Amino acid sequence: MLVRAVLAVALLATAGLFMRTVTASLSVEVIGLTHEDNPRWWAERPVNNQSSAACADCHEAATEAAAASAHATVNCDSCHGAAREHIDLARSGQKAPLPLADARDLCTSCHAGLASRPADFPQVDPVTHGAPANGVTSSCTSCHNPHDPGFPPVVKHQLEGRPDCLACHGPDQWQPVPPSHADRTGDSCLKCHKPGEGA
Amino acid sequence: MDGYVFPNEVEIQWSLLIVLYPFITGLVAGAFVVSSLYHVFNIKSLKPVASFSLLMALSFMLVAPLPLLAHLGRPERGILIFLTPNFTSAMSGFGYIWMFYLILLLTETWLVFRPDIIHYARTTGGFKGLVYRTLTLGMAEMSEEDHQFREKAIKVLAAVGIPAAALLHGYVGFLFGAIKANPWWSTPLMPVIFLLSAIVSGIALLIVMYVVVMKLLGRPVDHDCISSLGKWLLAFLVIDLVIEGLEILSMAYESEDSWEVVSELIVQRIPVSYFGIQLLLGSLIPMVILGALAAQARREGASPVIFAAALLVLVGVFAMRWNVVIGGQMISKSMRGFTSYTPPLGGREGVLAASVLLMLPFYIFSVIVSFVPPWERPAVDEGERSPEPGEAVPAWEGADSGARGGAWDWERR
Amino acid sequence: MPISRRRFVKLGAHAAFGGLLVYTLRGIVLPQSTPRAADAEGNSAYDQYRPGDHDWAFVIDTMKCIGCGRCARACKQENNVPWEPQCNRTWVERYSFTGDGEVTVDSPAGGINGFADEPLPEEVRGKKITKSFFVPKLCNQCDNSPCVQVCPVGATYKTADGIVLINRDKCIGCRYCIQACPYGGRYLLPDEGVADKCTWCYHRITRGRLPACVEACPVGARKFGDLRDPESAVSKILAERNVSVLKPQMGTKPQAFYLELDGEVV
Repeated sequence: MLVRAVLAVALLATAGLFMRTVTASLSVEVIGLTHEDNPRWWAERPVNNQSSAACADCHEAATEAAAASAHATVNCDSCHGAAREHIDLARSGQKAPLPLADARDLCTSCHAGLASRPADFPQVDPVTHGAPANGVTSSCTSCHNPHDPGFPPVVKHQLEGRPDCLACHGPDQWQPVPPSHADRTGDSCLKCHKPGEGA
Repeated sequence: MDGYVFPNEVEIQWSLLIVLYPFITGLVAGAFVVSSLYHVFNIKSLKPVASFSLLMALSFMLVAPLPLLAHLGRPERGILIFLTPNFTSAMSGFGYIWMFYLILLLTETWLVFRPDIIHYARTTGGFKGLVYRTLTLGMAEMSEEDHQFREKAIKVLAAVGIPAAALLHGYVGFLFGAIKANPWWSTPLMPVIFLLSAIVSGIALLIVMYVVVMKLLGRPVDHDCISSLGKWLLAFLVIDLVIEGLEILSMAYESEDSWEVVSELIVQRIPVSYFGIQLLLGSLIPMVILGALAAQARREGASPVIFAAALLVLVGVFAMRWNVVIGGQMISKSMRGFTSYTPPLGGREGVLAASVLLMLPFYIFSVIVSFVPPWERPAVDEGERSPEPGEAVPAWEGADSGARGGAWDWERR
Repeated sequence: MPISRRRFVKLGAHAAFGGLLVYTLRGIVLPQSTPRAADAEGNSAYDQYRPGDHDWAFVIDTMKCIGCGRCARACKQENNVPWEPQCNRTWVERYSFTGDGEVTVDSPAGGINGFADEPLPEEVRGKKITKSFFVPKLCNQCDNSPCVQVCPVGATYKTADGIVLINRDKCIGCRYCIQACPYGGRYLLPDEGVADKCTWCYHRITRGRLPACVEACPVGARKFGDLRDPESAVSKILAERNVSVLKPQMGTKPQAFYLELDGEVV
């Protein structure tokens, strides 16, 4: 008899509790597991990609140049990687360089010629454009400044790593010397063009 | 992978275990329907398997949540389906429908076998006796009112259990059929198709298990019963095939934008499984066999043929679950490609795990029948009472239990 | 009396089930919009932010996209998404028309590495490409979202400002939502066993910033804004130009709108 009574009470209690969850408008609230805290959890995730403005604090020159150039819409993070950690470390005095991928990969990801790209978007054939000349291979940054790309590119480039001026400036190369230079030889370039001064 | 598949779709999400779950719940629903056909509609030819099928349903019901649990990304949170169900989700139905149906099954089984339990509790000692006495739940006697209540309650439960079984398997069909994102799944006919193939698989498994168990025990098989089961199997098989055929014909005729990928799925990706196993081997051939048998007068030799047909049906229904679950996920939502799936051997969702889960209900069944064998009912028959305290308990050991007479005497024809 | 007590208990159980059934049916007859969670006013950086004041929307201009893949990369970096191929909050598809009536779509690694170094799809090689473009995709934060509808435990929900989020503490990893999304926007986080998807960088937009993919896009193919602000980029576009959504026939009411969406894009 007692066993039956206990069973009946247990069953009724369970059924009652179950009905209570049914009649609640959102069962989650009855059990106490509401969603109220969850949007806050999502809203408090760390922001990893910083906009270019955050880089200006330390890297004024590059940021300013980029902001005024055709690459104004290219976020620093999209080439240099998510900068939050780098900024946090830098602000606390430590250096944390952001490793950069190979320039050719970074540049061709946007500028390699593809049929699917809008025709009015600047794109080149990565195989023939800037092809190795006289055994000197080039990276895109040999001629193009990523922070201030011009069209056509005007680059004040270092002479280091570029021993043969005629590789690029020879008569049949990309940027041949003007006719005024016709009678000059390759070893006389440095008499007028000082390192770092470019054209 | 073939064609274009959305990047997130390359690996399918619902594996072999999710093929197993509707197969198992389908068997439960089917077995229960057979039991209810006897208890509610008094189909006398099904009496030999009425209690047998109840125990079979219970065994599979206990295993049903396991493939789901094993498949969850966070199995330890599975209880949340019971605690915080979101009622707009068909899957939340698993919680309350399964629980309710388990309670119903347990109650009905307990009521059906209660006189036996009381009898065994009185006559068995040791550990087994302790189990029996626990199972009596402290109510070790049955008065005349108890008997009347028992009979009425069994009828009520068996009756309620039919729509409940429909719900148990229908919700699974709705779970798939309500996903508009998947063209192979999305159809209002899905709950009906699932339910019909469930009943078909349940009857088929019952035939197979009944014959196998009886042969293992060296007991005679009731051929009338098998013949009757065969006819019920045929009837449901026909309806099932009609509805399934209607669905695919309708899709082919209306030829919506999704028909291109759906037709490629069934014709090029899963033709063997769909046309070969599900339709031909699992439906058409058994239908022809059973139809031919049904047209003739009942014969002794019919039983092995019905047994073979039942085996084919079982394979066909498993293939149907596979075709729905896996086939549906093979189609990319891009409508432009297909992905593929081969179940791994090991791991939580592999072939070994699925095999263990499939073998488990049979083991559970063997344990249950070692306590309450449905083919030996020493204390009960329709219209008979369990002995009153003090009354002599008739001997029940030995093959000649014909002392109680009636329909329990297999040998008599 | 044993019988009446038992009968009473059974009646109670059946009444409970009946009530449950009625309530379930009520839940199934759906409103045409996903209900939004109550406006939570709490305390944190989220303090100054009132979700109910905003209604976020996304606009994608497929004619501008150059398929550089920076959006996809920025997203993975921003949200710590595993780099595995099956975890894509956003991805870029390439459509190639070859003039023989065939359209080929591909998305190598979801566009993470751009398309410059990826070979053309096999079906297209050697043929003349007559028309080709890129289509960025992401979660549409549907107003009538099927993923919220099918979550069995209510782990995914729509905020007052229109973003569909997933409560990682509640998700049981059943993957029903992944099946229900018509756009392939969801995936299972491999290590945590819970569902995940694009959140339109909820942590950024609630701080007044733009989603990472929008900021990373060098050509302005992605635009983001508040529909409650008539001066925002998205409000202006929606007011002045023809936009469309993906799979409108599904009735999901996506909040990501596309400009110049070709009919072949699904």
